[in-house]
Amino acid sequence: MKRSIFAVLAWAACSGVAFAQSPTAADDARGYVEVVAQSAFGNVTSQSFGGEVGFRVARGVQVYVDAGYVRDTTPTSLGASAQAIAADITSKGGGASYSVKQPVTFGVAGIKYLFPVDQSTFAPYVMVGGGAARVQKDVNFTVSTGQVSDYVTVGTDLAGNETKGMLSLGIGVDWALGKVFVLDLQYRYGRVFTSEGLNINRAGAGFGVRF
Amino acid sequence: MMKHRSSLVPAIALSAIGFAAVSACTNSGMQPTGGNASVTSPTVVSPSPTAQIKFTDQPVILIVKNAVVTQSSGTTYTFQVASDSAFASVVQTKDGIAESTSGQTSVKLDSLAASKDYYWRARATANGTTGPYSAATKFTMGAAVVLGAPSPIAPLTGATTSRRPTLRVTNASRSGPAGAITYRFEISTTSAFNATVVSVTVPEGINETGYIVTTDLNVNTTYYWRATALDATNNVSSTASPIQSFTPNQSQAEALAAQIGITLWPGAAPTGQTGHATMGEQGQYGAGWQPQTLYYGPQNVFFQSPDAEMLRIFDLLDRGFDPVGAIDWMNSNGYPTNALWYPPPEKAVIGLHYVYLASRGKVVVNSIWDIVVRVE
Repeated sequence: MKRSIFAVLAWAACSGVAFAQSPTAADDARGYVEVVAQSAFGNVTSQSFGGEVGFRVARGVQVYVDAGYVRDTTPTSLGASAQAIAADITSKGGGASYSVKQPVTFGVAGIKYLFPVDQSTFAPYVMVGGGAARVQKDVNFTVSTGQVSDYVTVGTDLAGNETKGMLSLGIGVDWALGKVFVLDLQYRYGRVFTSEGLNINRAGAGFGVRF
Repeated sequence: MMKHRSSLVPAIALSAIGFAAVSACTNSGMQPTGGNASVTSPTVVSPSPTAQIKFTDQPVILIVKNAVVTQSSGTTYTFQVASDSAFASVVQTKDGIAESTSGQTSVKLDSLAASKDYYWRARATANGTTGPYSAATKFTMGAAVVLGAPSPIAPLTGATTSRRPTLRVTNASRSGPAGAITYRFEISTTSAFNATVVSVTVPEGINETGYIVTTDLNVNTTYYWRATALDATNNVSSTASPIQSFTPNQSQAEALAAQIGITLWPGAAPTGQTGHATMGEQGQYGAGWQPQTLYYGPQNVFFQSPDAEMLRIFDLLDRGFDPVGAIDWMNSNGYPTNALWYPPPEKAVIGLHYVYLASRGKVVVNSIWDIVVRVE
């Protein structure tokens, strides 16, 4: 998955050089704002949505802010724990089922560097940022007899949330669509510094406007 | 340049606003009620629900299957015993019991009062999380009835017996409000009683209790037996009586009956040790006891000798019965006979249809008995 994403991005960057005669450079604007849709992958595959806004601070350098929501980042340990508890409840006649989800909301700010490709509609970039992420452990048990609390006391390992610092690294290509619109093909890696550590990989596209 | 740097402030502000806005929309799922770990209730193993426990089987040991703990380290258990299902009256609490690595954790209770129902439950604590209690489980402590072991009377170790011996014990001593007592007699070919031949329960007799074995045991085989007093009302049993052994021997009559293919005592069997009579040999005193066909002249018939009736009467004499007692025993135990005893000093013979069983020398006790064909 990662390999194919990198291949797409590399292709896009090279294409930008090849079409160097295009009328508008990707980093000409003062800034941009875009909405983003991504595929998030890791232990589970889900979707991520968000927005990104950036302001030019120097030639080829932008300050950006990225905020979003990843629907599920459930690690193996969370699912295994929930499964063990559901099995125990079932063995006691509780007839349990369970669902596990670990959504993450995040906000990061950082620096985005666009490689100089004069007059090209394509502008490959790298970015690095930091911020915070809120990791929600969303485990639900359903029992056929009695209450869930009759069988288990749920700890913070299966429920609740924690907000921790987040490091974000990214690469991508901005594709200028005329003077106003921009298509951003991107890959993002995020590391959330929870007690177990959480990696979030996102790959997708953003569509925005430049101003 | 200053203009560009000023962009950082709204950028960070936007980031915070965006993060807060999205976070506010994503609160869902269960909320933690414990510490770091999630802990289930342990599972009751023993005593099982509605268990009846003998008062003398104390101390009671409570056993649970370990709880599921998602982050286990130093898991401990709390056991509670109460006299009511709501645990309003807790009679014992055992706290801080370390989890066993065997998968089951147990605790030994202090002595509990007799004749009461109890309820028990357990819960686990780990990593700051106290799990829920297991379901309350009831058990009943039996009455404080103590039964002493019965004492064997007979047969004692080393005895030889008939193939259907009578096992006898003195009644067990008892204390407390005992119910009706019964006795379980067991016979085995091993002293460990792992190959039980007979296991029967009989009601208590007066002063002593006995059991007559109802099937033939193997001859020349050593058997072991014991008896245990039981109080079914209070679910109390004694320890078993001291183990005794015996060896069934085939009497002369039984051996001969087997030789001619008949069952000597198909129903009730007499008790008592053999050795009180001897079969007379063929010769001047009689025809002898070897299987043969004899001739009864007055009716001109041939008949098989000995027959079952002759052998049964002899077997009774061999067990110490006197002739009248032997005839009476047969008539009252399902072996009807027309035998007549002609006592000394004239004859000292038992008259049967074709023969007399004659006591040699007219000695009735421990005599030699000859088969003499009747002539009248």
